[in-house]
Amino acid sequence: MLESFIKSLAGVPWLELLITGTVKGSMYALIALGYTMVYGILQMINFANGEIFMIGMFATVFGIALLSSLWGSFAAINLILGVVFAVILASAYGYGSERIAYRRLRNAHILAPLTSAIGLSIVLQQFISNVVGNQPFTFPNYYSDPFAWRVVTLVQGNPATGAGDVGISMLQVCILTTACLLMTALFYMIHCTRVGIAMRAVSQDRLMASLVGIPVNHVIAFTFIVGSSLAAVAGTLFSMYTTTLTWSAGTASGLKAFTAAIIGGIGNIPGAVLGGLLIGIIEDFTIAILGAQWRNVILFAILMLTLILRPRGLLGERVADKV
Amino acid sequence: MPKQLFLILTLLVGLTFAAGCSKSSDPSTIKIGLAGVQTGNDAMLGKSMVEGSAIALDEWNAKGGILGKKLEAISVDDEGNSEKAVNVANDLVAKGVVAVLGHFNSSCTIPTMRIYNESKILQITPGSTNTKITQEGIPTLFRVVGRDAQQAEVNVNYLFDTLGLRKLAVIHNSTSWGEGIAKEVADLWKKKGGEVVEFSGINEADRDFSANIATIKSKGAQALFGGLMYAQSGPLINKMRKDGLEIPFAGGDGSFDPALITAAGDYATNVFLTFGPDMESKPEARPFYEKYRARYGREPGPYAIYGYAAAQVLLTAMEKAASTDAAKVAEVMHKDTFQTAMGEIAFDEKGDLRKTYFVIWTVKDKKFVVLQQ
Amino acid sequence: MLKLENVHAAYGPVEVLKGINLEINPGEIVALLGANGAGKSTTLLTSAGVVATTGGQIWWEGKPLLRPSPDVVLRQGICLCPEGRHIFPRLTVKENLLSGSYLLPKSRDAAKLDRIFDFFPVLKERLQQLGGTLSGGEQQMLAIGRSLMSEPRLLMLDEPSLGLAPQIVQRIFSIIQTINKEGTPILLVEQNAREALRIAHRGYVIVTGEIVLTDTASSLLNSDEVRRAYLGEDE
Ligand SMILES: Nc1ncnc2c1ncn2[C@@H]1O[C@H](COP(=O)(O)OP(=O)(O)O)[C@@H](O)[C@H]1O
Ligand SMILES: [Mg+2]
Repeated sequence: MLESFIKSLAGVPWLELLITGTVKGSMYALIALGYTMVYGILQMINFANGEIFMIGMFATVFGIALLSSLWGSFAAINLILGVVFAVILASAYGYGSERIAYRRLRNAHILAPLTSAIGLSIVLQQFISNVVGNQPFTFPNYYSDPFAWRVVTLVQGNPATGAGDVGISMLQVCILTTACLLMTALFYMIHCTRVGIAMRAVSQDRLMASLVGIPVNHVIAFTFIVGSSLAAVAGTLFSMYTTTLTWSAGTASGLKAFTAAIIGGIGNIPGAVLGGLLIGIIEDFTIAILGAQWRNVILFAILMLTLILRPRGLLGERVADKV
Repeated sequence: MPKQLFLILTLLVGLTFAAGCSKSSDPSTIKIGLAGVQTGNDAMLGKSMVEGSAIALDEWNAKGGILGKKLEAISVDDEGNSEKAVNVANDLVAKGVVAVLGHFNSSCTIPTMRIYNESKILQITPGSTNTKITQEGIPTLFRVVGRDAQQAEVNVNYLFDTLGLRKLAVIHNSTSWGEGIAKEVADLWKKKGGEVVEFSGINEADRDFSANIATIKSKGAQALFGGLMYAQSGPLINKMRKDGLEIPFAGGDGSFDPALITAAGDYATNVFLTFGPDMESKPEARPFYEKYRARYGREPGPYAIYGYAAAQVLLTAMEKAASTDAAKVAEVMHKDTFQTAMGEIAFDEKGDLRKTYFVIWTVKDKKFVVLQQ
Repeated sequence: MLKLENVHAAYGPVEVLKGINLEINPGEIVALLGANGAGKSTTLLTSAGVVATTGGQIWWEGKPLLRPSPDVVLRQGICLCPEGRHIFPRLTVKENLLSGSYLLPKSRDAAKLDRIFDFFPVLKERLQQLGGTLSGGEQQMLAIGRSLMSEPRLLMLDEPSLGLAPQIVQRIFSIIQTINKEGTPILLVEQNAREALRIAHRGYVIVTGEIVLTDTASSLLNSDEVRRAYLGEDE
């Protein structure tokens, strides 16, 4: 048993798994940032964040479909506008959910906003399920296929064993670049702009922030908008990457991103990024080594271990970066 | 004020439910349960199957029903989920159906067939291919499709003998159907002397297959068999081609839906699926296809005609037996040969088709076509 | 400028302010004196929009003061520097200061910072240090500086001397006086009544939620009642 396990380890395509895991992890990280930012500022888990990721998927595809019926298939323009549409819609959802489901419960017992968040996520999920007819959707190939070409080949295949090439595709490059750009922009915003100072001030002492003139409600709403936008972009990227959209996608990816945020140290921005990448990579290695059914066992075992050994997460001690 | 509003709403909701429940069963009709997945991932396959059955029931009603009574179709959605299937099966029993046409997924037929058997309800599944189903010895259970064992054999023969491949990777969706057929393929492959380089299960909700593809790629598989439904095999084919894995993809009837081609797009190459023969080219099937398109205004899914034929068999047998009693109808079904839109149908003692006919289909110009043997 | 008229306030069922009447005129330093728990902080919190009134009216420059939330009050020109300083512990000194000028034109930040560094040179040295790592005195200076960043037209200080060494208290009080001389009226709550009355123009004495005495600072300093109760004499 052990011997065959070790033998199977030898054949693991670690380089490719590292690539695919990083790509997927960067998308988890974008979602995890939403969880962690909202937690940082409100000490509340916005469970609906995973659904906003899912809404981002559908909004992009809907936006693209709308535009191509309006003026035809201008690939780049439609795709970009589709993402913009998704970000706007997701922001509206994020803002609306804060206004409707959370603001009044801000000073209530901790269970109240949590329950509200879970309720909201079920509402969003069922809403989409009802609207799109509860069946798998395909991301229009016309828009994702142009990204399929391989940018570099890292390992040539071996004709003797039949092993294939290992490379990086344009889409993978785009996903990583987009994620990096967004995260850099987020870091910049949080550390170098006034609204960033305001966000951190609100997260540290809400009443005092209000006393120095920071419009706390606006800053909180803005945090939701930023988190939702990141999740929406992640949704677009994920649906392009996997070519499908399902109304249940938010639950699966949302839960993993949430786990990522916890592992990194909830409330901690670099922690969410680190957690996301870790989860993505661990997930893919688990699938390859133990099989897909083991992935949740491993992920949640790691979650529990983290909570036991480092209750505040991997980067939880470096609270300076908390939003 | 909001409290009152809430109360009124609750009352309203309550009333609606009460109204729904109080719809009492009418003894002057013969109730037939139409059960299948109508929402969710496999919705496209299951829904048109149920619709096919409904068309047959309506035709009979137009002719005056059977045994002097009208037929009443009670259509239920099991969502492709075995727990939900058990719930809807119990519902159907409570509503007094005499026979059930369904379910679609093997994972829904297996837990419900015992329920129907206990309540002496005859069952014909138009779509469940898992080999186990007819091995339980339920005398009132039939199917109008082939078994996965047969499907697996056709698949393996094609990949191993015709294409001459020796290293196979197998992936399945961990359901009764997917894992069942995957195991049968893998066993047959080994029996023939081939090598199964990878055998792995995934979850039905999975949409990212990168890690599986990487593994398969590294193991030098020459073909991939997927015990998957179309909702997964379409994206999988697309992704494996994009990741540079060009080997043939083979699958069973669960992958056989136009949505697979939509999802895989231009990358739907080297795809080989087992399914029944091309029904639409049969003259006896043509009226059904026309009727379906006229009624629903869209293309029937591949299992629509199976739903239709199952109903044809059931109603013909009831007429012949002059009874709705499951045992009596079953007796006729075991003995007789039926003329259906799918052609002649006869059952063996297990309730399986005497003659099966899986063929290999492939994708050409974004359409499924039968591969010339 | 600011005028409290028969203001009532309560925490739940407990009424803490029972009809406060109080006024601050342009250019004044007004001291609000009283024992621990008398309702001094509550008076300031009510004026700052933190605690709701249950009766009475607060006037600001002749109009009712809008108090939906503290930031709205601040935008009308009233800034509260609360008891206990409440520095943002994980913002740097500079970020703490800048947090006070959110929504104000950036172009004025530099001048305001220079003025604050003139008052409290030590803050300039600590600019990149986290607020939480400052000493108590430095934190108080930072809290006052942060309040000044919001360009208040009335500054309310709640116990700025609390827990500080006498030397530093002297420094802070003299800066408060300077700020006032440069044009900002100040409402000063203090336990340290003697120091407060020394720089104040007028004073109010509050006892269990009611103003019991008001006079010029010098009369209060000489009043037997005040001497006995708040200046620790004759004990
Ligand atoms: N948040 C609160 N909840 C309930 N009671 C409070 C609260 N804050 C202060 N009090 C009570 O209100 C009274 C006045 O408090 P406060 O205004 O802080 O007094 P002071 O500042 O004069 O020491 C005290 O009896 C105090 O116990
Ligand atoms: Mg006080």
